[in-house]
Amino acid sequence: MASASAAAPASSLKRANSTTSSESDELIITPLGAGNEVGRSCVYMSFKGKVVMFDCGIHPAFSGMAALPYFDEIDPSAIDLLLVTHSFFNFTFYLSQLTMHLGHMIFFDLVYLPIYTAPAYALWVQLSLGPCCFTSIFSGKGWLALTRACSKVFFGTIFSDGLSPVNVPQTTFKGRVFMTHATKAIYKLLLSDYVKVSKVSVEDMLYDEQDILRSMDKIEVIDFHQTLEVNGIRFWCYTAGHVLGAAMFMVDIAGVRILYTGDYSREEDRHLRAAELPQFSPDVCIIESTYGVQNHQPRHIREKLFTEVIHSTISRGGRVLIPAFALGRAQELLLILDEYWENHRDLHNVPIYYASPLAKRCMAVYQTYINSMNDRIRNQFASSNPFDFKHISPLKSLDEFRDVGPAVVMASPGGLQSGLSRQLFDKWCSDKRNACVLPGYVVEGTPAKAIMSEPKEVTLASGLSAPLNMGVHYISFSAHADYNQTSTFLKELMPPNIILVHGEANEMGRLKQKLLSVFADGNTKIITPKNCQSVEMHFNSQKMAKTIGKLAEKTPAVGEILSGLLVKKGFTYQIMAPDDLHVFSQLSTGSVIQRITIPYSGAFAVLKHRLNLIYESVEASTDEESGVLTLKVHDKVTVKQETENHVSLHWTADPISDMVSDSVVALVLNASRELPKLMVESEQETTEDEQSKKADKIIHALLVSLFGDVKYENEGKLLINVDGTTALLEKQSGEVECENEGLKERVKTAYRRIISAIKPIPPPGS
Amino acid sequence: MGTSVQVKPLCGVYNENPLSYLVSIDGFNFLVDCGWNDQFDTSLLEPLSRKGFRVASSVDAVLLSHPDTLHLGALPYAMKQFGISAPVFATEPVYRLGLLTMYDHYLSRKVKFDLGNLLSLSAFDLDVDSVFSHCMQVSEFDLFTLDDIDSAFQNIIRLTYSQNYYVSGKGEGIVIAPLAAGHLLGGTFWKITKDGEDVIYAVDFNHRKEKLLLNGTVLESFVRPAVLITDAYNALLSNQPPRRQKDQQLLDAILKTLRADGNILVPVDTAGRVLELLLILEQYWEHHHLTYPIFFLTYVSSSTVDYAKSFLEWMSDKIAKSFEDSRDNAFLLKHVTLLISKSELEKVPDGPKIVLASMASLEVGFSHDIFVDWAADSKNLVLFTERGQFGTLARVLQSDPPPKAVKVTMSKRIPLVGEELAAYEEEQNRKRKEEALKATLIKEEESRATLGAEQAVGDPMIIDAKIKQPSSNGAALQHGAFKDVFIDGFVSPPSSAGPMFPFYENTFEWDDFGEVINPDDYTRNDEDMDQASMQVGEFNGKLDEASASLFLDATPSKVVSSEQTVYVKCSLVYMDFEGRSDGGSIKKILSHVSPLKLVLVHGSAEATEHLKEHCLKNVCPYVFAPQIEESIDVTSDLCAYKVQLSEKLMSNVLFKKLGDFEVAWVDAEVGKAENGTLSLLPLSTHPPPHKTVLVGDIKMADFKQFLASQGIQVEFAGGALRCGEHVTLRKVGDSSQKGGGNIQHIILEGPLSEEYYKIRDHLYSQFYAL
Repeated sequence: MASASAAAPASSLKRANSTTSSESDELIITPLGAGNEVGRSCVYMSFKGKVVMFDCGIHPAFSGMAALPYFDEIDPSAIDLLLVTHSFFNFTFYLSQLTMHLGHMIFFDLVYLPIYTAPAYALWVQLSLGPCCFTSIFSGKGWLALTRACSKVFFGTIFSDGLSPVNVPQTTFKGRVFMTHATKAIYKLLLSDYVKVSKVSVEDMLYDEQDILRSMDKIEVIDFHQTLEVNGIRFWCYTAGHVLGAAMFMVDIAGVRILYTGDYSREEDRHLRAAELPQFSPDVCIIESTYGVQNHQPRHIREKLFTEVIHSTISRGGRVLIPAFALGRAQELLLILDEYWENHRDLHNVPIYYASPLAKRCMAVYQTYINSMNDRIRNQFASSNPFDFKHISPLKSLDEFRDVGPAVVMASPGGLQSGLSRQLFDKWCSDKRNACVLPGYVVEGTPAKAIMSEPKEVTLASGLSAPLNMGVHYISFSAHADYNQTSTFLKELMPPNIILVHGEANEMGRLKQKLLSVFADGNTKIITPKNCQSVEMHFNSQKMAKTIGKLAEKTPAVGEILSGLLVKKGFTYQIMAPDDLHVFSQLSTGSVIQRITIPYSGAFAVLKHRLNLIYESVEASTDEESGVLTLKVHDKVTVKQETENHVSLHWTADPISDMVSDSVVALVLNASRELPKLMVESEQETTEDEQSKKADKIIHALLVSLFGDVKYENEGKLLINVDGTTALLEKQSGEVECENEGLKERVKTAYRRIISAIKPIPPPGS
Repeated sequence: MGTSVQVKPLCGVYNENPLSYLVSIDGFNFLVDCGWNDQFDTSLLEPLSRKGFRVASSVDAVLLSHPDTLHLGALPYAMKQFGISAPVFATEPVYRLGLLTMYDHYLSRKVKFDLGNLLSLSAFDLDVDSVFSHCMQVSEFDLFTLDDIDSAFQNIIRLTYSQNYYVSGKGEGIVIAPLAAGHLLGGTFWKITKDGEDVIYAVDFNHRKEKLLLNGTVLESFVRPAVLITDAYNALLSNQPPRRQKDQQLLDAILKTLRADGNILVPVDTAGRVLELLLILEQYWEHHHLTYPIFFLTYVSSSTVDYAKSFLEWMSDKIAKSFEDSRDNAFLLKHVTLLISKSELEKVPDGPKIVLASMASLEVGFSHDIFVDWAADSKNLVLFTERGQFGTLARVLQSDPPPKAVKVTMSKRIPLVGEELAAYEEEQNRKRKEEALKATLIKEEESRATLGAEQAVGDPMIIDAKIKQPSSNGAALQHGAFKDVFIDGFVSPPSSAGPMFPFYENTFEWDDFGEVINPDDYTRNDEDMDQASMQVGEFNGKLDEASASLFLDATPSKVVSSEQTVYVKCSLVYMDFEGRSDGGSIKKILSHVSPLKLVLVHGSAEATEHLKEHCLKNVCPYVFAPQIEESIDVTSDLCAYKVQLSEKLMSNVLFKKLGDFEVAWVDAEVGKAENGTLSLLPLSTHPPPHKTVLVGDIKMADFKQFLASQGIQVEFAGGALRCGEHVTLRKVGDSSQKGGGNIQHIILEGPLSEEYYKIRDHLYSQFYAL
């Protein structure tokens, strides 16, 4: 992969990658985005040769390549699993490119888009920038930067090896992608909406409905708490609050648990459940830190403020404008309003509208995935669908809207840049009875931000200026955890390692300090890695095996020898007797019984005699059924005199038996052809000494071929020198003295194997 | 020794009775399923209630597998009467749809007037005859109440598929997980794991992916469980025709009748298979632009469909995909009209129509009434989509040849008039006073049926349905559906903690002449009547509430039963749309899953025996088919202990990869680790020799192809594979151990030749030698 920016941390990561193929005990966590920053959430993790990536977002404040997480630092083909926590555009945007193959690369530049003529488009910007708005709050980036960020999205397939313009067959990403049902549904909506917009805006289609459908096919769904396993990686997810379908992922690799919270909220609101507290404490918790050490106002106070402002405005005959994003908080606000209206009969004649086509489409998703919401909603659902609002109606365009007296309109975009919310604002701003409630994050540089300081005059979309008389209220409904929630959550979980991501650097630093004082015992490590800065942790997970079946009939005492099949599946080990293999696994064992007939017309006794000369154990008997003479050679091969002219050999295949049988075959052939007699080494009185010398020679030669530098030492020892490390091998006992454990083991094993190769075949049954 | 496992059937073995079994794992007792039949025959529950054995009180957890009567029907009754207080586990759809099923059952027996009819009477007059004609099938039913249903269901712990639930307390170490079983929405087979040993309870599964509703079961991916408990219900059912063909047959039969101007009654369950049927019909109507009306008639039809809409996660990939693509929920039914009362159906203009009505057994409910109405017309068709429960009307009608006439009991609830009414009023007044008194004394009143069970048919019966609006946090009961329904003039006792049915004890004073009466009470109280009619008016606006009719019990009434003979002239068709695996598939799945021990339940004696024999031969040597209340021990005779694998040992182990598994041979010395566990260390001495193990599964057909591709002439001859000129290859399988994995013996025979060794090499290449 061509890496243009091979910075110092990058190279270190590369090295880490190269070792991922082996099963190391190092857990490496690297934020590829959202490290000391907000946006482009993307965390890369590898452990024991398994690679998991969490989220895959773009950074709102940068443009082009720079907006992407640092994918060039990793090898996408190594990723086993991509887990997507929620469906704000930020997080899934890039996914489309991960999972689909685009024909060619295009730079998409918003500059050419007539944004202000397409309200729907503005809406999209609003949506896509949902999470970016945090950035602007915390990093002070302006609206212009944001638009630019979105505008220059790089649509190449960086996962293709080359940049061949037409022929990019497929990205090398081969892993599997998981998200929750609701997230997937919303993801589809957002992308299709984007396609609709780009259809009217640019000629170059970045991707079309087909591409989205293809990527949809690639995405698999997971339900909350459902435990899945991919390549030995077990994972499940918990409710995260934040937005419909948002999930926290718990990943379990070889018994080490990693929790990735994504964006979460521990506060239950009107429709979402609060983030759950996982049942098990994770070993590592990767947690968002967007709000740092700030705390939210209690929800009921915010709600009260919100409804009071609206109620009082309406009672004085005014109109209320709520500029809001299409997804997420909008549904929450509508629920609040609908309920408030229900309880206040005097308001029943005042209409509430929401004017956002996407929000309307999202409503179908909200009406369906009721079971992902909290008990309150689910209980309401028993009587009627709470998202079938009784007092709220959708509004397609301003033409349908009869502006006659008090009304509440929720319109997008939230920043009042254009579209419906802007039109209504222009219309209503000069009447002091009216009010504008800003319920969410107000992006720097937008008109909404401008009116927050309540200037005397505002510039209308038409360019004219008008007095600003309407009331402006800012009541934030955020669904991110604040400091209280974060610290309580961590205190209850007590993870030994905490990694902070998705937070502006200063804010994160403050949070780290404060958390350190909370976990003062010093057993908790809190780490705030920058992008591409790897966090390495060593988990010396003990491998445990379960001995089962016949082998486990009695528990062995210390010093006894245990032999059996070690079967590994995922990260579980079992030791069993070969006979039990088919019982405890889907594997079968087999045996091959061989029966070979050889022409031999000589006397059977001759064979016996010859075999006796070679083999220690030759038993003669007669076959019970046929009464023919048999010889059992080395307890493995049976030689039978089938007829006058044939003998047959029977044996069960295994390397030693095969060898024995081969020699028997050779012997039989020799005997029958009456060729020069096989010269049996008639007790060639080779002395012990000579034999051991011969063996020494062989051992030495073999060791040299394995280790290179092998010298004779005194007292039958061998000195092995490998790259400056020496090992002393005691030939008699096989003991090795060496400082390097690894080398010691290798030499020992090699010596053991050599010995077993040159020594005679052990007699059967020993 | 392994985990101790006992299975004790309480109901539903060697017959097709409802399912209920006690599975005890290391002393922790699971009651798996708690079913009842449509007649609610209390004798079936005897094993559960038997005092001496203390079965009910020993239950530690209840697992439910399907949302129908046969699997969970007895839950409310058992929890109330036998005092089962253990936590209940089910999936969300099983919980919801099960609840609706029970509501429907209750209402089918209990509802007094047909709501629609009552409202259609513009002036509330007490013309007995006119009311009589609009009355419905009811019975004196007092086994459980809506409150019992609610309280049984409200504490169900809902799990999602493959969610591992770690049991705490007594059952520490046990993990339960529901897994997709097919058959019904949310249908579950349960995996209970302890110490790595799986006990799987899988009944009524369906391996087939359905046309619309459900994905097939994932049972096949769980091989070699220690114990598998499964049913033999369909063991004798021969292979089913392809689904497409079956669908076509169904639709052909329907269209034939409709075109001949006949009506079709499809007796269905409340919230189970009917969902699939609705989708099939809906889709067919859509594709063929049919205009014949389809009606779905149960007391809870609209709730059922509403809930179905919110269960997309549980349905097939196809439905999920279509929702993603078009955001059209599959259960936005365009061609199906949902009805909750029969009068609504009667208002429909005459003409061919298809009605899906509960219950499937035809014993009670709308289907019963409609059957009685329609049976006599030969144009009509009654289409059974599932086998009727044993001893029900549906089963009788499914017999071959179908009966010419059947006797049915028509029970009607009629309002009280004259003397009876007055007696009732008096009783009421007195009780109201009593109750006011009691209310101050008794803080917590047990909620119970208002009906005196022992009273003979014809006695004044009272139903006072009072549902308090659920508290706004909704925590109390799942009663939201009915919160808008104003019930009657009675005020619930201030002491009652939650919404529940008040209990009035029917005590009568007797003297020598019978019951003591007060003549003054026998005057008509017109005022009350007016009030009642007003209340009825109130309902008009809220009729859209599916279940509003439940509580229209304001007027006193009684039940009158009569026996009637119905001549069955309409055609009767039975088609299997049960969504269960057929016999052949069951056998195939079983031999694939190949449990170490197999327990067979639920199925006729014949089917059970048949499957048992088959499994003994082909699946595993331990097949049990226990009798009712016979406790069998299926503890696995498996031994196990844990050892630590030392790094030193592992660094020398060379794994060979075989599919999901990696296998190696180890020789190790047992040592002790620091923490006292056994650990395995590398041998310091020479490893003892061992018999070589050949690992691998060889299929003769595959091997034949392989040899052919290697340029060797091969053919099958007399059960052996003849390779080349002289070499033969024969597989001597262990025939009692099919599937899963086993020890295969392959015999290679031939004369000494080059070919022999070549073929041997090819054969070896199919194995891993360890």
